[in-house]
Amino acid sequence: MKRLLCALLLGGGLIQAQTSPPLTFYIHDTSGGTPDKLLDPSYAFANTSQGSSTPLVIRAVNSSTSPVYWVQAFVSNTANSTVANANFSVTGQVIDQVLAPSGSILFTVNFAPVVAGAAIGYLQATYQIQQPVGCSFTSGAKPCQSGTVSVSTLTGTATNPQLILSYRNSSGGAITLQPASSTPFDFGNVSTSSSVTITFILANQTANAIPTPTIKLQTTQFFSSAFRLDTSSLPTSIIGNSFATFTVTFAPGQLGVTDPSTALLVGALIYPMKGTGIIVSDVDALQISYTDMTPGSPSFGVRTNPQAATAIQFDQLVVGGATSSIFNFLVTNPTTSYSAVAVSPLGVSGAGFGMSGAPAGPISIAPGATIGFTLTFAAAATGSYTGSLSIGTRRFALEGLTVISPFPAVSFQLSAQPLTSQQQATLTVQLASPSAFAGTGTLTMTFVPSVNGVSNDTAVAFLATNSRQLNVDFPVGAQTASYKGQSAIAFQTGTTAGTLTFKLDVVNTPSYSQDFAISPATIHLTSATAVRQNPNLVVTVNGYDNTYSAGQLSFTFYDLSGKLISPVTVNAATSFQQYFSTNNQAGGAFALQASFPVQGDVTQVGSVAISLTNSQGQTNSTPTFQ
Amino acid sequence: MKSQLGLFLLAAVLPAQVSAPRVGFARFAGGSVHAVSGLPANFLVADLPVARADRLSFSDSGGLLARNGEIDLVDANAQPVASFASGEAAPLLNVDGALTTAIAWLPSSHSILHWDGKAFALTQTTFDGEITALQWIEPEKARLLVLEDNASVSAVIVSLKTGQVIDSQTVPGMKGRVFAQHSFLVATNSKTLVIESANGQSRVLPLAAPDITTERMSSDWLHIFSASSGEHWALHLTQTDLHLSRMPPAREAAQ
Repeated sequence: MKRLLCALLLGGGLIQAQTSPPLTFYIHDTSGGTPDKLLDPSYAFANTSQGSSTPLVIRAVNSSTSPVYWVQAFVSNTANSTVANANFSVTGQVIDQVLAPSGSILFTVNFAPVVAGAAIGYLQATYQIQQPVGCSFTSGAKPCQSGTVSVSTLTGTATNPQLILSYRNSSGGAITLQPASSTPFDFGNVSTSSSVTITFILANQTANAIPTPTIKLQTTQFFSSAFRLDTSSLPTSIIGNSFATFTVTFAPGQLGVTDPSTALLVGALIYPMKGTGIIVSDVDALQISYTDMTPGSPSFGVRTNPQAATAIQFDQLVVGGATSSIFNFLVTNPTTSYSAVAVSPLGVSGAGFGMSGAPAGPISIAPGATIGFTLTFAAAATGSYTGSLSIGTRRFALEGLTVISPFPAVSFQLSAQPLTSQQQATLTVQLASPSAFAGTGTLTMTFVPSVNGVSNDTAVAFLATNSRQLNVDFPVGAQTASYKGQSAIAFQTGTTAGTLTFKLDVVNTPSYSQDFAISPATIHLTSATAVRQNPNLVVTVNGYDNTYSAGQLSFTFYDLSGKLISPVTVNAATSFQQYFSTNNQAGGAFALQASFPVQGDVTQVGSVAISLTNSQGQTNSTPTFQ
Repeated sequence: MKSQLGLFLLAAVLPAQVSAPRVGFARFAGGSVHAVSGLPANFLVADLPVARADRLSFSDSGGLLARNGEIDLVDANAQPVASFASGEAAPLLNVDGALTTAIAWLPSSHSILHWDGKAFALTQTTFDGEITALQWIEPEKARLLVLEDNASVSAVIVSLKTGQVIDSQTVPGMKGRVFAQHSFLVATNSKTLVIESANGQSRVLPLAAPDITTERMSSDWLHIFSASSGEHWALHLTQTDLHLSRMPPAREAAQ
């Protein structure tokens, strides 16, 4: 829903639905046995028991002549509402993507009733359409038209549940849980040094065996969870009129009530849960956090408040890649504490894990004070590693993993070497063997000029995007990477001497990079023209100086018979330096024009020998006058 | 010798003028028009657009921009000079020299619009055919390149005074959609670029892309692009040089 609201805001607000919606919806048979069938304005699902799910695969087709930005499909409670209906869910849709005319997208609507009886939902889809021309799907400055199409009214009947979830209270009585309850199951108040485990009972109400539904925790993405699920004792199916059990442990590492989005998912049913971390002893008050400082990590700089229920997961190491994963920890005694907290022991255990930077013991953290230390995971041999961090009586599990990259070795091949300035060449990313699986990588080019005081040459870029970064694909079986189907990736080298570096980053694979030098060279002329504009002679020269050191120019004029008339020397160093150093956007490329007043008949001048000098030597050209 | 010729050359009165080499103006996705500078195989497309257009043509002296039925004459810095409400959705434009070479074919009204130096002049013609390029060739005469039904090409001279066809000749050896550049003809198809000189010599360059469009960036540069593939090329074509390079898109359009 957040994505939906965001898209609507970017789109400049929801406008009236198009008189002719740009999207048409079909029922799709994923087996391919029957052709797509137009989805009617109303659709009835088969009867479905509470806790089960009946899917309906739908193909949405862009039936307009303009690109359509698919925001998302959703099922609402009422026809004009955006409030999600709990009895229906939409899965498998790739949201926020552009559909070309006739392009389509598949998604699944699931009737997964949470209460028995008749249910009704309203399938809607939100989109933007590229109208007017030139509008932007993503920029709020030039928003495209947006709209919502009412796709179909969905109905279904929920029958009694086949499985019932319960737990035993402290007196041994079985308490049945109701899904989607507005009152979360409460694990109660638990010290941040302690934990509580609840055993849940999943009972089969029918006489036949039922496959055990998928059971998992719903937690806030990217955040450490204070809950831990153990389904190791669950069978793959529960026999008739029998039951199976699993446990959920609440082990907080932070104070306060857990995130309200936390829930236990049993099949399609949702059971909200909560717990509260509290202080029982002084050490419970310590606020613990860590920041990922592993160079190159996607989580670099991300700060996490760990929960004791969830192991602290270090960045995965790849043999031949980064040698360690580094987390910086901070432990703070809040100012609200009454007394200093003694931290003993402070240490880490487990092969591959190490601690550094901790203050010397005995450690005592005064109210409002903070200590810091660094944990590292560095294991060269492949495998999974576990350990433990102790901060006084507070315990946090540690996990690390070292893998061998499954990706074949990479090399770069250029269409031309050595590289020179003002060149367009292609780069091919070559794999040592055909890729066993599909993957993507990020190909980056960087350019470091060798000219003093020059930091960049904006002409250096991939030609397909005019940028220095591309996402390349590795299809299964391919031995070269490709960008939009092309394995020869074109780029231009600019007009500045320096070093061009290509780097490929693939997840779980050591980065591969290679440098290519572009050597300083004499001034290169791409054109030289000489024109008589009585009473002047005008000489125009286009070219580049990749050293930015052009200085002396000389012009030697000859008559029509080739006899010397006059040499003229111009010191253009100042002009060139002003050009190269003042808001220069063209690198070493330049256009030079020199005008020579003539007393006499300009038509008698036949040619001019031009000589330009830079730090690498002299360049000559002799254009004839037009 | 100097005295024999009676010539006296002075050192350049002004210091040598150094600037970024100018290529011209090109239209990218979404109709954004950007200044392009650089050299063959080394292009810099300005980040900020100077205008938006559905069609364009530029010489070193200025250009024509068409958008939403309006045709604007602009100077060499893309600043407006004059405007004409043509109502034409898909005009064919050309400027290949001074602003007085600015000319446009308005297919829906079978008329030719040209700039006479002071105002736009509209000439109704009786001509009907698929015109792929046109040029102002001399006062009161325009040359149209016409794609015939059998894919051959005709060069038709039309009076800008009367709108009557003065001459029509088949261009030998050329087929398909043809563009005129200086004394050359440039033909494109989905696989190659064929350049034929006035003396009949031709050169074929590989250029594989669907739906090729050609627009003039400046007097000596043509912008060749495929809207569907997003690829761009720059052709430098003068009496002494022929150079085809890939050209990067505008960064705004490339996203």
